[in-house]
Amino acid sequence: MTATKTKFNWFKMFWEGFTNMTTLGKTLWIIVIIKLIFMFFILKPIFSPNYLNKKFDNAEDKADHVRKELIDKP
Amino acid sequence: MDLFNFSSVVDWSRLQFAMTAGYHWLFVPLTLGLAVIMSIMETIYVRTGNVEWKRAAKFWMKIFGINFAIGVATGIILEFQFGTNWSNYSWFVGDIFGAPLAIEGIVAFFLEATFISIMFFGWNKVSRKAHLAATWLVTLGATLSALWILIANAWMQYPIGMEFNPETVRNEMVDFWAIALSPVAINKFFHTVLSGWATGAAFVLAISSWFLIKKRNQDFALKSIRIGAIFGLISFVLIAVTGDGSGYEVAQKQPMKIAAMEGLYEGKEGAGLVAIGVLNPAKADKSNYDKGDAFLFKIELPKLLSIMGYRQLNAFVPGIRDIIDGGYTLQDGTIALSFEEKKVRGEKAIEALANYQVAKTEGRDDELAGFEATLLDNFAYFGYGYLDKPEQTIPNVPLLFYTFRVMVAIGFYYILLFAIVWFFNRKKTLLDNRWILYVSLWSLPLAYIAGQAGWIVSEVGRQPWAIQDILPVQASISSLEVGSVMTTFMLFLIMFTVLLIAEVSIMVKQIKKGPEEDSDDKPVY
Repeated sequence: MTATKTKFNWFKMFWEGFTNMTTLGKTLWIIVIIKLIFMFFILKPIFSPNYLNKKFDNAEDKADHVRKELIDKP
Repeated sequence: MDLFNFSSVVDWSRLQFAMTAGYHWLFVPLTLGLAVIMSIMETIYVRTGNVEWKRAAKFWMKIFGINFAIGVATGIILEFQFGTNWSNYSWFVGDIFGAPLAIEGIVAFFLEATFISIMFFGWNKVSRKAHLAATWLVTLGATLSALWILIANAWMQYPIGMEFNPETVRNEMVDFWAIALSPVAINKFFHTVLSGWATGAAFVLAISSWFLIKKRNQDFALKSIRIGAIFGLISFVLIAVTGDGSGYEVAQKQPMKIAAMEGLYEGKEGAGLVAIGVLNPAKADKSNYDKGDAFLFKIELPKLLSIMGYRQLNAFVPGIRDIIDGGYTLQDGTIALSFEEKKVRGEKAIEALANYQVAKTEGRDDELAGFEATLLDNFAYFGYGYLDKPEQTIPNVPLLFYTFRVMVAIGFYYILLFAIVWFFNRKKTLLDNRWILYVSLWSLPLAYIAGQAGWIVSEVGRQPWAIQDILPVQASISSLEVGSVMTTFMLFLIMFTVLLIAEVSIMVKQIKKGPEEDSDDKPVY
Protein backbone atom coordinates (compact mmCIF):
# COMPACT_ATOMS: atom_id res chain seq x y z
CA MET A 1 0.00 0.00 0.00
CA THR A 2 1.33 3.40 -0.91
CA ALA A 3 0.62 6.27 1.39
CA THR A 4 0.04 9.63 -0.21
CA LYS A 5 2.63 12.09 0.97
CA THR A 6 1.36 15.13 -0.91
CA LYS A 7 -0.29 17.92 1.05
CA PHE A 8 -4.04 17.54 1.48
CA ASN A 9 -5.97 19.70 -0.94
CA TRP A 10 -9.63 20.11 -0.05
CA PHE A 11 -10.69 21.35 -3.48
CA LYS A 12 -8.79 18.55 -5.23
CA MET A 13 -10.51 15.96 -3.07
CA PHE A 14 -13.94 17.22 -4.06
CA TRP A 15 -12.96 17.65 -7.70
CA GLU A 16 -11.58 14.13 -8.00
CA GLY A 17 -14.44 12.76 -5.91
CA PHE A 18 -17.05 14.17 -8.24
CA THR A 19 -15.22 13.57 -11.51
CA ASN A 20 -14.40 9.94 -10.65
CA MET A 21 -17.83 9.23 -9.23
CA THR A 22 -19.33 5.82 -9.89
CA THR A 23 -22.73 5.26 -11.50
CA LEU A 24 -24.13 4.56 -8.04
CA GLY A 25 -22.84 7.88 -6.72
CA LYS A 26 -24.30 9.76 -9.69
CA THR A 27 -27.65 8.00 -9.28
CA LEU A 28 -27.81 8.94 -5.60
CA TRP A 29 -26.92 12.56 -6.31
CA ILE A 30 -29.68 12.72 -8.93
CA ILE A 31 -32.17 11.30 -6.42
CA VAL A 32 -31.06 13.78 -3.74
CA ILE A 33 -31.33 16.76 -6.11
CA ILE A 34 -34.75 15.73 -7.50
CA LYS A 35 -35.99 15.12 -3.96
CA LEU A 36 -34.82 18.49 -2.69
CA ILE A 37 -36.24 20.34 -5.72
CA PHE A 38 -39.58 18.58 -5.26
CA MET A 39 -39.60 19.31 -1.51
CA PHE A 40 -38.49 22.93 -1.55
CA PHE A 41 -39.83 24.20 -4.86
CA ILE A 42 -43.11 22.29 -5.17
CA LEU A 43 -44.23 20.77 -1.87
CA LYS A 44 -43.25 23.60 0.45
CA PRO A 45 -44.46 26.67 -1.47
CA ILE A 46 -47.51 25.19 -3.19
CA PHE A 47 -48.86 22.49 -0.91
CA SER A 48 -47.31 23.06 2.47
CA PRO A 49 -46.78 26.77 3.11
CA ASN A 50 -46.36 28.09 6.63
CA TYR A 51 -49.92 28.88 7.66
CA LEU A 52 -49.17 31.91 9.84
CA ASN A 53 -46.55 33.38 7.50
CA LYS A 54 -48.95 33.12 4.62
CA LYS A 55 -51.80 34.86 6.43
CA PHE A 56 -50.02 37.43 8.56
CA ASP A 57 -47.14 39.82 8.06
CA ASN A 58 -45.92 40.45 11.56
CA ALA A 59 -45.48 38.72 14.89
CA GLU A 60 -48.20 40.77 16.58
CA ASP A 61 -50.87 39.68 14.10
CA LYS A 62 -49.73 36.06 14.38
CA ALA A 63 -49.93 36.26 18.17
CA ASP A 64 -53.42 37.80 17.97
CA HIS A 65 -54.58 35.03 15.67
CA VAL A 66 -53.22 32.23 17.86
CA ARG A 67 -54.61 33.91 20.99
CA LYS A 68 -58.05 34.08 19.38
CA GLU A 69 -57.77 30.45 18.31
CA LEU A 70 -56.77 29.35 21.81
CA ILE A 71 -59.54 31.33 23.46
CA ASP A 72 -62.27 30.38 20.99
CA LYS A 73 -61.34 26.75 20.24
CA PRO A 74 -64.12 24.40 21.32
CA MET B 1 -65.19 3.12 19.25
CA ASP B 2 -64.27 6.01 16.96
CA LEU B 3 -60.85 5.18 15.56
CA PHE B 4 -60.69 7.66 12.71
CA ASN B 5 -63.01 10.46 11.65
CA PHE B 6 -62.59 11.06 7.92
CA SER B 7 -64.01 14.57 8.16
CA SER B 8 -61.69 15.63 10.97
CA VAL B 9 -58.72 17.88 10.23
CA VAL B 10 -57.19 16.77 13.53
CA ASP B 11 -57.36 13.08 12.60
CA TRP B 12 -55.99 13.65 9.09
CA SER B 13 -53.21 15.86 10.44
CA ARG B 14 -52.31 13.23 13.03
CA LEU B 15 -52.39 10.43 10.46
CA GLN B 16 -50.24 12.48 8.12
CA PHE B 17 -47.68 13.13 10.84
CA ALA B 18 -47.71 9.50 11.93
CA MET B 19 -47.26 8.29 8.35
CA THR B 20 -44.36 10.63 7.57
CA ALA B 21 -42.68 10.04 10.94
CA GLY B 22 -43.06 6.29 10.43
CA TYR B 23 -41.47 6.43 6.98
CA HIS B 24 -38.72 8.74 8.25
CA TRP B 25 -37.98 6.24 11.00
CA LEU B 26 -37.33 3.55 8.38
CA PHE B 27 -34.26 5.51 7.24
CA VAL B 28 -32.94 6.97 10.50
CA PRO B 29 -32.24 3.83 12.58
CA LEU B 30 -30.21 2.23 9.81
CA THR B 31 -28.15 5.42 9.50
CA LEU B 32 -27.49 5.45 13.25
CA GLY B 33 -26.65 1.76 13.47
CA LEU B 34 -24.61 1.30 10.31
CA ALA B 35 -22.60 4.43 11.13
CA VAL B 36 -21.26 2.84 14.31
CA ILE B 37 -20.67 -0.55 12.71
CA MET B 38 -18.68 0.81 9.76
CA SER B 39 -16.73 3.04 12.17
CA ILE B 40 -15.82 0.03 14.31
CA MET B 41 -14.74 -1.92 11.24
CA GLU B 42 -12.58 0.92 9.99
CA THR B 43 -11.07 1.26 13.46
CA ILE B 44 -10.08 -2.41 13.36
CA TYR B 45 -8.60 -1.87 9.91
CA VAL B 46 -6.53 1.10 11.11
CA ARG B 47 -5.35 -0.81 14.19
CA THR B 48 -4.55 -4.11 12.44
CA GLY B 49 -3.81 -3.03 8.88
CA ASN B 50 -5.91 -5.98 7.67
CA VAL B 51 -7.42 -4.83 4.37
CA GLU B 52 -10.31 -7.30 4.71
CA TRP B 53 -11.65 -5.02 7.43
CA LYS B 54 -11.27 -2.04 5.13
CA ARG B 55 -13.19 -3.95 2.48
CA ALA B 56 -15.95 -4.73 4.96
CA ALA B 57 -16.05 -1.13 6.21
CA LYS B 58 -16.28 0.16 2.63
CA PHE B 59 -19.15 -2.19 1.79
CA TRP B 60 -21.24 -1.11 4.78
CA MET B 61 -20.25 2.48 4.08
CA LYS B 62 -21.75 2.09 0.63
CA ILE B 63 -25.01 0.78 2.09
CA PHE B 64 -24.92 3.59 4.66
CA GLY B 65 -24.47 6.09 1.83
CA ILE B 66 -27.49 4.77 -0.09
CA ASN B 67 -29.64 4.98 3.02
CA PHE B 68 -28.26 8.40 3.93
CA ALA B 69 -28.74 9.89 0.45
CA ILE B 70 -32.31 8.66 0.13
CA GLY B 71 -33.31 9.38 3.73
CA VAL B 72 -31.58 12.74 4.10
CA ALA B 73 -33.93 15.69 4.53
CA THR B 74 -37.03 13.48 4.80
CA GLY B 75 -37.37 14.77 8.38
CA ILE B 76 -37.89 18.25 6.94
CA ILE B 77 -41.32 17.06 5.75
CA LEU B 78 -42.24 16.80 9.44
CA GLU B 79 -41.12 20.39 9.94
CA PHE B 80 -43.25 21.48 6.97
CA GLN B 81 -46.22 20.02 8.78
CA PHE B 82 -45.53 21.99 11.95
CA GLY B 83 -45.86 25.20 9.94
CA THR B 84 -48.82 24.11 7.83
CA ASN B 85 -51.02 21.82 9.90
CA TRP B 86 -49.88 22.61 13.44
CA SER B 87 -49.48 26.40 13.33
CA ASN B 88 -51.09 27.06 16.74
CA TYR B 89 -48.75 24.53 18.29
CA SER B 90 -45.72 25.91 16.44
CA TRP B 91 -46.42 29.43 17.59
CA PHE B 92 -47.30 28.38 21.14
CA VAL B 93 -44.06 26.40 21.68
CA GLY B 94 -41.98 29.31 20.45
CA ASP B 95 -38.22 28.95 20.58
CA ILE B 96 -38.32 25.87 22.79
CA PHE B 97 -39.01 23.65 19.83
CA GLY B 98 -37.26 25.89 17.33
CA ALA B 99 -33.93 26.08 19.17
CA PRO B 100 -33.17 22.34 19.31
CA LEU B 101 -34.33 21.92 15.71
CA ALA B 102 -32.09 24.80 14.61
CA ILE B 103 -29.12 23.33 16.48
CA GLU B 104 -29.90 19.98 14.87
CA GLY B 105 -29.87 21.58 11.42
CA ILE B 106 -26.55 23.29 12.04
CA VAL B 107 -24.94 20.21 13.59
CA ALA B 108 -26.30 17.93 10.90
CA PHE B 109 -25.17 20.22 8.13
CA PHE B 110 -21.70 21.07 9.36
CA LEU B 111 -20.65 17.82 10.94
CA GLU B 112 -22.27 15.31 8.64
CA ALA B 113 -21.95 17.23 5.36
CA THR B 114 -18.33 18.17 6.02
CA PHE B 115 -17.03 14.84 7.18
CA ILE B 116 -19.18 12.64 4.98
CA SER B 117 -17.34 14.07 1.97
CA ILE B 118 -13.98 13.11 3.50
CA MET B 119 -15.41 9.69 4.38
CA PHE B 120 -16.46 8.98 0.81
CA PHE B 121 -13.92 10.95 -1.23
CA GLY B 122 -10.97 10.97 1.15
CA TRP B 123 -9.67 7.37 0.94
CA ASN B 124 -5.94 7.65 0.29
CA LYS B 125 -6.18 11.44 0.11
CA VAL B 126 -6.01 11.91 3.85
CA SER B 127 -4.11 9.75 6.32
CA ARG B 128 -5.73 6.57 7.65
CA LYS B 129 -6.24 8.15 11.04
CA ALA B 130 -7.71 11.34 9.58
CA HIS B 131 -10.11 9.25 7.51
CA LEU B 132 -11.07 7.24 10.56
CA ALA B 133 -11.67 10.46 12.48
CA ALA B 134 -13.94 11.67 9.66
CA THR B 135 -15.92 8.43 9.77
CA TRP B 136 -16.41 8.66 13.52
CA LEU B 137 -17.37 12.34 13.20
CA VAL B 138 -20.06 11.39 10.68
CA THR B 139 -21.33 8.92 13.27
CA LEU B 140 -21.19 11.59 15.96
CA GLY B 141 -23.01 14.07 13.70
CA ALA B 142 -25.82 11.62 12.98
CA THR B 143 -26.15 10.82 16.68
CA LEU B 144 -26.15 14.47 17.74
CA SER B 145 -28.84 15.20 15.16
CA ALA B 146 -30.98 12.60 16.84
CA LEU B 147 -30.19 14.12 20.25
CA TRP B 148 -31.70 17.51 19.44
CA ILE B 149 -34.79 16.07 17.79
CA LEU B 150 -35.35 13.84 20.81
CA ILE B 151 -34.86 16.75 23.22
CA ALA B 152 -37.62 18.60 21.36
CA ASN B 153 -39.83 15.52 21.47
CA ALA B 154 -39.12 14.92 25.16
CA TRP B 155 -40.25 18.47 25.95
CA MET B 156 -43.64 17.64 24.45
CA GLN B 157 -43.86 14.68 26.85
CA TYR B 158 -42.52 16.61 29.84
CA PRO B 159 -42.68 20.39 29.33
CA ILE B 160 -40.19 22.18 31.61
CA GLY B 161 -37.73 25.06 31.54
CA MET B 162 -40.20 27.53 30.03
CA GLU B 163 -42.51 30.35 31.01
CA PHE B 164 -45.65 31.32 29.14
CA ASN B 165 -45.79 34.91 27.92
CA PRO B 166 -49.42 36.06 27.54
CA GLU B 167 -48.27 39.05 25.52
CA THR B 168 -46.72 36.98 22.73
CA VAL B 169 -48.81 33.84 23.38
CA ARG B 170 -45.58 31.85 23.34
CA ASN B 171 -43.69 29.70 25.75
CA GLU B 172 -40.28 31.22 26.30
CA MET B 173 -37.23 29.23 27.25
CA VAL B 174 -35.99 30.20 30.71
CA ASP B 175 -33.73 27.23 31.40
CA PHE B 176 -32.05 25.66 28.38
CA TRP B 177 -30.26 23.02 30.44
CA ALA B 178 -33.45 21.92 32.18
CA ILE B 179 -34.87 21.19 28.73
CA ALA B 180 -31.70 19.66 27.27
CA LEU B 181 -30.93 17.53 30.32
CA SER B 182 -34.45 16.60 31.33
CA PRO B 183 -34.52 12.98 32.50
CA VAL B 184 -37.14 12.21 29.88
CA ALA B 185 -34.87 13.60 27.14
CA ILE B 186 -31.81 11.72 28.35
CA ASN B 187 -33.66 8.42 28.58
CA LYS B 188 -35.41 8.95 25.27
CA PHE B 189 -32.10 9.75 23.58
CA PHE B 190 -30.33 6.61 24.76
CA HIS B 191 -33.33 4.35 24.25
CA THR B 192 -33.98 5.64 20.72
CA VAL B 193 -30.37 5.77 19.55
CA LEU B 194 -29.80 2.29 20.92
CA SER B 195 -32.81 1.07 18.97
CA GLY B 196 -31.13 2.51 15.87
CA TRP B 197 -27.92 0.65 16.73
CA ALA B 198 -29.93 -2.52 17.21
CA THR B 199 -31.61 -2.09 13.82
CA GLY B 200 -28.23 -1.55 12.19
CA ALA B 201 -26.90 -4.72 13.84
CA ALA B 202 -29.99 -6.70 12.80
CA PHE B 203 -29.51 -5.42 9.25
CA VAL B 204 -25.82 -6.42 9.16
CA LEU B 205 -26.69 -9.82 10.62
CA ALA B 206 -29.44 -10.41 8.05
CA ILE B 207 -27.42 -9.37 5.00
CA SER B 208 -24.32 -11.23 6.18
CA SER B 209 -26.46 -14.32 6.73
CA TRP B 210 -27.69 -13.99 3.15
CA PHE B 211 -24.09 -14.06 1.92
CA LEU B 212 -23.42 -17.17 3.99
CA ILE B 213 -26.61 -18.87 2.77
CA LYS B 214 -25.49 -18.12 -0.79
CA LYS B 215 -21.98 -19.34 0.11
CA ARG B 216 -20.49 -16.05 -1.08
CA ASN B 217 -17.91 -13.72 0.48
CA GLN B 218 -17.75 -15.90 3.57
CA ASP B 219 -14.79 -14.21 5.23
CA PHE B 220 -16.43 -10.80 4.84
CA ALA B 221 -19.79 -12.10 6.10
CA LEU B 222 -18.27 -13.82 9.14
CA LYS B 223 -16.30 -10.69 10.01
CA SER B 224 -19.48 -8.62 9.70
CA ILE B 225 -21.42 -11.04 11.86
CA ARG B 226 -18.64 -10.98 14.46
CA ILE B 227 -19.13 -7.22 14.85
CA GLY B 228 -22.89 -7.23 14.25
CA ALA B 229 -23.68 -9.97 16.76
CA ILE B 230 -21.79 -8.50 19.69
CA PHE B 231 -22.90 -4.96 18.82
CA GLY B 232 -26.49 -6.09 18.47
CA LEU B 233 -26.42 -8.09 21.69
CA ILE B 234 -25.01 -5.16 23.67
CA SER B 235 -27.49 -2.75 22.03
CA PHE B 236 -30.54 -4.88 22.80
CA VAL B 237 -29.47 -5.46 26.40
CA LEU B 238 -28.95 -1.71 26.85
CA ILE B 239 -32.34 -1.08 25.21
CA ALA B 240 -33.90 -3.22 27.94
CA VAL B 241 -32.04 -1.20 30.60
CA THR B 242 -33.03 2.18 29.12
CA GLY B 243 -36.52 0.83 28.51
CA ASP B 244 -36.80 0.28 32.23
CA GLY B 245 -35.61 3.88 32.72
CA SER B 246 -38.20 5.08 30.22
CA GLY B 247 -40.89 3.13 32.07
CA TYR B 248 -39.90 4.88 35.29
CA GLU B 249 -40.00 8.33 33.70
CA VAL B 250 -43.36 7.65 32.04
CA ALA B 251 -44.84 6.48 35.34
CA GLN B 252 -43.60 9.64 37.05
CA LYS B 253 -44.47 12.17 34.36
CA GLN B 254 -47.23 10.59 32.25
CA PRO B 255 -49.16 8.22 34.53
CA MET B 256 -52.06 7.96 32.07
CA LYS B 257 -49.70 6.66 29.40
CA ILE B 258 -48.33 3.86 31.53
CA ALA B 259 -51.80 2.97 32.82
CA ALA B 260 -52.98 2.68 29.20
CA MET B 261 -49.88 0.65 28.21
CA GLU B 262 -50.76 -1.80 30.99
CA GLY B 263 -54.54 -1.76 30.57
CA LEU B 264 -54.61 -0.74 34.23
CA TYR B 265 -58.00 0.79 34.97
CA GLU B 266 -58.07 0.30 38.74
CA GLY B 267 -54.87 1.28 40.52
CA LYS B 268 -53.28 -0.90 43.16
CA GLU B 269 -50.33 -1.31 45.46
CA GLY B 270 -47.71 -3.81 44.37
CA ALA B 271 -49.03 -3.76 40.82
CA GLY B 272 -47.85 -6.48 38.45
CA LEU B 273 -46.70 -6.09 34.87
CA VAL B 274 -48.90 -7.93 32.39
CA ALA B 275 -46.70 -10.35 30.43
CA ILE B 276 -49.48 -11.72 28.22
CA GLY B 277 -53.08 -10.66 28.16
CA VAL B 278 -56.24 -10.21 26.14
CA LEU B 279 -58.09 -6.97 26.78
CA ASN B 280 -61.83 -6.88 27.20
CA PRO B 281 -63.06 -5.47 23.84
CA ALA B 282 -65.93 -3.68 25.61
CA LYS B 283 -63.40 -1.38 27.26
CA ALA B 284 -62.19 -0.15 23.88
CA ASP B 285 -65.14 2.25 24.11
CA LYS B 286 -63.49 4.85 26.31
CA SER B 287 -66.72 5.82 28.02
CA ASN B 288 -66.66 2.36 29.61
CA TYR B 289 -63.47 3.18 31.49
CA ASP B 290 -65.26 2.75 34.82
CA LYS B 291 -67.31 -0.35 33.90
CA GLY B 292 -66.46 -4.03 33.55
CA ASP B 293 -63.27 -6.07 33.69
CA ALA B 294 -60.20 -4.82 31.86
CA PHE B 295 -59.03 -8.27 30.72
CA LEU B 296 -60.51 -11.46 29.35
CA PHE B 297 -57.28 -13.18 30.29
CA LYS B 298 -53.86 -12.17 31.61
CA ILE B 299 -50.62 -13.48 33.09
CA GLU B 300 -48.89 -10.98 35.37
CA LEU B 301 -45.35 -10.67 36.64
CA PRO B 302 -46.07 -9.77 40.27
CA LYS B 303 -44.99 -6.38 41.64
CA LEU B 304 -42.99 -5.53 38.54
CA LEU B 305 -45.03 -2.46 37.51
CA SER B 306 -44.62 -0.94 40.99
CA ILE B 307 -40.90 -1.62 40.88
CA MET B 308 -40.49 -0.22 37.36
CA GLY B 309 -42.67 2.83 37.89
CA TYR B 310 -41.78 3.78 41.45
CA ARG B 311 -38.78 1.61 42.44
CA GLN B 312 -40.78 0.20 45.35
CA LEU B 313 -42.19 -3.27 45.75
CA ASN B 314 -45.58 -2.13 47.00
CA ALA B 315 -45.90 1.34 45.52
CA PHE B 316 -49.37 2.40 44.47
CA VAL B 317 -49.72 2.61 40.69
CA PRO B 318 -52.76 4.68 39.73
CA GLY B 319 -55.07 3.24 37.11
CA ILE B 320 -57.00 5.14 34.46
CA ARG B 321 -59.99 5.54 36.77
CA ASP B 322 -57.81 6.81 39.65
CA ILE B 323 -56.14 9.38 37.40
CA ILE B 324 -59.55 10.64 36.28
CA ASP B 325 -61.07 10.63 39.78
CA GLY B 326 -57.94 11.95 41.55
CA GLY B 327 -57.73 11.83 45.34
CA TYR B 328 -54.76 9.48 45.67
CA THR B 329 -51.44 10.53 47.19
CA LEU B 330 -48.73 11.48 44.73
CA GLN B 331 -45.02 10.76 45.24
CA ASP B 332 -44.42 14.29 46.55
CA GLY B 333 -47.10 13.84 49.21
CA THR B 334 -49.71 16.04 47.54
CA ILE B 335 -53.14 14.77 46.55
CA ALA B 336 -53.81 14.13 42.86
CA LEU B 337 -56.38 16.41 41.28
CA SER B 338 -59.38 14.92 39.53
CA PHE B 339 -60.15 15.54 35.86
CA GLU B 340 -62.91 17.94 36.90
CA GLU B 341 -60.53 19.94 39.11
CA LYS B 342 -57.93 20.11 36.36
CA LYS B 343 -60.60 21.15 33.89
CA VAL B 344 -61.69 24.02 36.16
CA ARG B 345 -58.09 25.18 36.45
CA GLY B 346 -57.57 24.91 32.70
CA GLU B 347 -60.66 26.97 32.02
CA LYS B 348 -59.44 29.56 34.53
CA ALA B 349 -56.13 29.81 32.67
CA ILE B 350 -57.84 30.24 29.29
CA GLU B 351 -60.21 32.84 30.76
CA ALA B 352 -57.26 34.71 32.28
CA LEU B 353 -55.56 34.75 28.86
CA ALA B 354 -58.72 36.27 27.37
CA ASN B 355 -59.09 38.79 30.19
CA TYR B 356 -55.44 39.76 29.92
CA GLN B 357 -55.92 40.67 26.27
CA VAL B 358 -59.16 42.61 26.91
CA ALA B 359 -57.51 44.55 29.77
CA LYS B 360 -54.53 45.32 27.56
CA THR B 361 -56.71 46.50 24.68
CA GLU B 362 -58.76 48.71 27.02
CA GLY B 363 -55.65 50.14 28.66
CA ARG B 364 -56.37 48.69 32.12
CA ASP B 365 -52.69 48.01 32.71
CA ASP B 366 -53.07 47.77 36.49
CA GLU B 367 -55.11 44.56 36.03
CA LEU B 368 -52.60 42.80 33.76
CA ALA B 369 -50.42 41.45 36.56
CA GLY B 370 -53.43 39.83 38.24
CA PHE B 371 -54.60 38.09 35.08
CA GLU B 372 -51.06 36.98 34.30
CA ALA B 373 -50.68 35.53 37.82
CA THR B 374 -53.97 33.62 37.47
CA LEU B 375 -52.89 32.33 34.06
CA LEU B 376 -49.47 31.17 35.24
CA ASP B 377 -50.86 29.65 38.45
CA ASN B 378 -53.14 27.43 36.40
CA PHE B 379 -50.98 27.04 33.32
CA ALA B 380 -49.91 23.49 34.16
CA TYR B 381 -53.52 22.45 33.40
CA PHE B 382 -54.14 24.86 30.50
CA GLY B 383 -54.98 22.04 28.10
CA TYR B 384 -57.73 20.57 30.28
CA GLY B 385 -59.80 23.66 29.50
CA TYR B 386 -60.34 22.29 25.99
CA LEU B 387 -61.67 18.90 27.11
CA ASP B 388 -65.28 18.11 27.93
CA LYS B 389 -65.30 14.54 29.14
CA PRO B 390 -62.82 12.63 31.29
CA GLU B 391 -62.54 9.83 28.74
CA GLN B 392 -60.96 12.32 26.33
CA THR B 393 -57.80 12.08 28.44
CA ILE B 394 -57.46 8.34 27.75
CA PRO B 395 -55.22 7.31 24.85
CA ASN B 396 -56.00 4.29 22.69
CA VAL B 397 -55.56 1.51 25.26
CA PRO B 398 -55.69 -1.58 22.96
CA LEU B 399 -53.22 -0.06 20.51
CA LEU B 400 -50.80 0.85 23.31
CA PHE B 401 -51.18 -2.39 25.22
CA TYR B 402 -50.54 -4.70 22.28
CA THR B 403 -47.93 -2.52 20.55
CA PHE B 404 -45.89 -2.27 23.76
CA ARG B 405 -45.87 -6.04 24.08
CA VAL B 406 -44.89 -6.52 20.45
CA MET B 407 -41.93 -4.16 20.97
CA VAL B 408 -40.77 -5.85 24.16
CA ALA B 409 -41.23 -9.37 22.76
CA ILE B 410 -39.16 -8.54 19.68
CA GLY B 411 -36.49 -7.01 21.91
CA PHE B 412 -36.11 -10.18 23.96
CA TYR B 413 -36.32 -12.32 20.81
CA TYR B 414 -33.37 -10.45 19.36
CA ILE B 415 -31.34 -10.75 22.56
CA LEU B 416 -31.75 -14.51 22.24
CA LEU B 417 -31.03 -14.50 18.50
CA PHE B 418 -27.86 -12.41 18.80
CA ALA B 419 -26.67 -14.53 21.72
CA ILE B 420 -27.11 -17.73 19.70
CA VAL B 421 -25.41 -16.24 16.63
CA TRP B 422 -22.56 -14.92 18.76
CA PHE B 423 -22.16 -18.37 20.38
CA PHE B 424 -22.10 -20.25 17.06
CA ASN B 425 -19.74 -17.71 15.56
CA ARG B 426 -17.38 -17.99 18.52
CA LYS B 427 -17.44 -21.78 18.27
CA LYS B 428 -16.93 -21.44 14.50
CA THR B 429 -20.04 -23.55 13.85
CA LEU B 430 -22.21 -20.89 12.27
CA LEU B 431 -21.86 -22.39 8.80
CA ASP B 432 -22.91 -25.79 10.16
CA ASN B 433 -26.12 -24.34 11.56
CA ARG B 434 -27.73 -22.93 8.48
CA TRP B 435 -31.11 -22.67 10.17
CA ILE B 436 -29.86 -19.75 12.28
CA LEU B 437 -28.77 -17.97 9.10
CA TYR B 438 -32.27 -18.28 7.67
CA VAL B 439 -33.77 -17.12 10.98
CA SER B 440 -31.39 -14.14 11.06
CA LEU B 441 -32.27 -13.17 7.50
CA TRP B 442 -36.03 -13.44 7.83
CA SER B 443 -36.12 -11.78 11.24
CA LEU B 444 -35.00 -8.42 9.84
CA PRO B 445 -38.55 -6.97 9.45
CA LEU B 446 -39.05 -7.58 13.18
CA ALA B 447 -36.31 -5.06 14.02
CA TYR B 448 -38.15 -2.41 12.00
CA ILE B 449 -41.51 -3.38 13.50
CA ALA B 450 -40.03 -2.97 17.00
CA GLY B 451 -38.76 0.51 16.13
CA GLN B 452 -42.12 1.58 14.74
CA ALA B 453 -43.88 0.07 17.75
CA GLY B 454 -41.68 2.12 20.06
CA TRP B 455 -42.75 5.35 18.41
CA ILE B 456 -46.41 4.31 18.50
CA VAL B 457 -46.15 3.66 22.24
CA SER B 458 -44.42 6.99 22.80
CA GLU B 459 -46.64 9.17 20.64
CA VAL B 460 -50.05 7.50 20.78
CA GLY B 461 -49.51 7.25 24.54
CA ARG B 462 -49.14 11.05 24.72
CA GLN B 463 -52.63 11.59 23.26
CA PRO B 464 -54.76 13.65 23.53
CA TRP B 465 -51.88 16.01 24.17
CA ALA B 466 -49.58 17.72 21.71
CA ILE B 467 -47.85 19.10 24.82
CA GLN B 468 -48.54 17.03 27.90
CA ASP B 469 -51.40 18.60 29.95
CA ILE B 470 -50.85 22.01 28.33
CA LEU B 471 -52.12 21.76 24.77
CA PRO B 472 -54.35 19.06 23.28
CA VAL B 473 -54.09 18.22 19.58
CA GLN B 474 -57.43 19.81 18.72
CA ALA B 475 -56.22 23.20 19.96
CA SER B 476 -52.87 22.81 18.17
CA ILE B 477 -53.98 22.64 14.57
CA SER B 478 -54.44 25.28 11.88
CA SER B 479 -57.85 26.18 10.53
CA LEU B 480 -57.44 24.15 7.34
CA GLU B 481 -59.84 22.36 5.04
CA VAL B 482 -59.81 18.56 5.34
CA GLY B 483 -59.26 18.34 1.59
CA SER B 484 -55.98 20.21 1.72
CA VAL B 485 -54.61 17.94 4.47
CA MET B 486 -55.74 14.88 2.48
CA THR B 487 -53.96 16.22 -0.61
CA THR B 488 -50.66 16.72 1.20
CA PHE B 489 -51.13 13.33 2.88
CA MET B 490 -51.30 11.67 -0.53
CA LEU B 491 -48.35 13.67 -1.87
CA PHE B 492 -46.17 12.79 1.11
CA LEU B 493 -47.26 9.17 0.90
CA ILE B 494 -46.32 8.97 -2.77
CA MET B 495 -43.00 10.72 -2.20
CA PHE B 496 -41.97 8.49 0.69
CA THR B 497 -43.12 5.34 -1.09
CA VAL B 498 -41.11 6.23 -4.20
CA LEU B 499 -38.06 6.93 -2.03
CA LEU B 500 -38.46 3.64 -0.19
CA ILE B 501 -38.80 1.68 -3.43
CA ALA B 502 -35.68 3.45 -4.76
CA GLU B 503 -33.79 2.67 -1.56
CA VAL B 504 -34.69 -1.01 -1.51
CA SER B 505 -34.01 -1.56 -5.21
CA ILE B 506 -30.63 0.23 -5.17
CA MET B 507 -29.62 -1.52 -1.97
CA VAL B 508 -30.60 -4.97 -3.23
CA LYS B 509 -28.55 -4.37 -6.39
CA GLN B 510 -25.49 -3.30 -4.41
CA ILE B 511 -25.83 -6.11 -1.89
CA LYS B 512 -26.00 -8.64 -4.72
CA LYS B 513 -22.79 -7.16 -6.13
CA GLY B 514 -21.20 -7.70 -2.73
CA PRO B 515 -18.02 -6.18 -1.37
CA GLU B 516 -15.52 -5.31 -4.04
CA GLU B 517 -11.88 -6.28 -4.13
CA ASP B 518 -10.08 -3.42 -2.49
CA SER B 519 -8.32 -1.04 -4.75
CA ASP B 520 -6.75 2.00 -3.20
CA ASP B 521 -7.94 4.18 -6.04
CA LYS B 522 -11.45 2.81 -6.24
CA PRO B 523 -13.99 5.27 -4.87
CA VAL B 524 -16.84 4.09 -2.66
CA TYR B 525 -19.04 6.46 -4.71
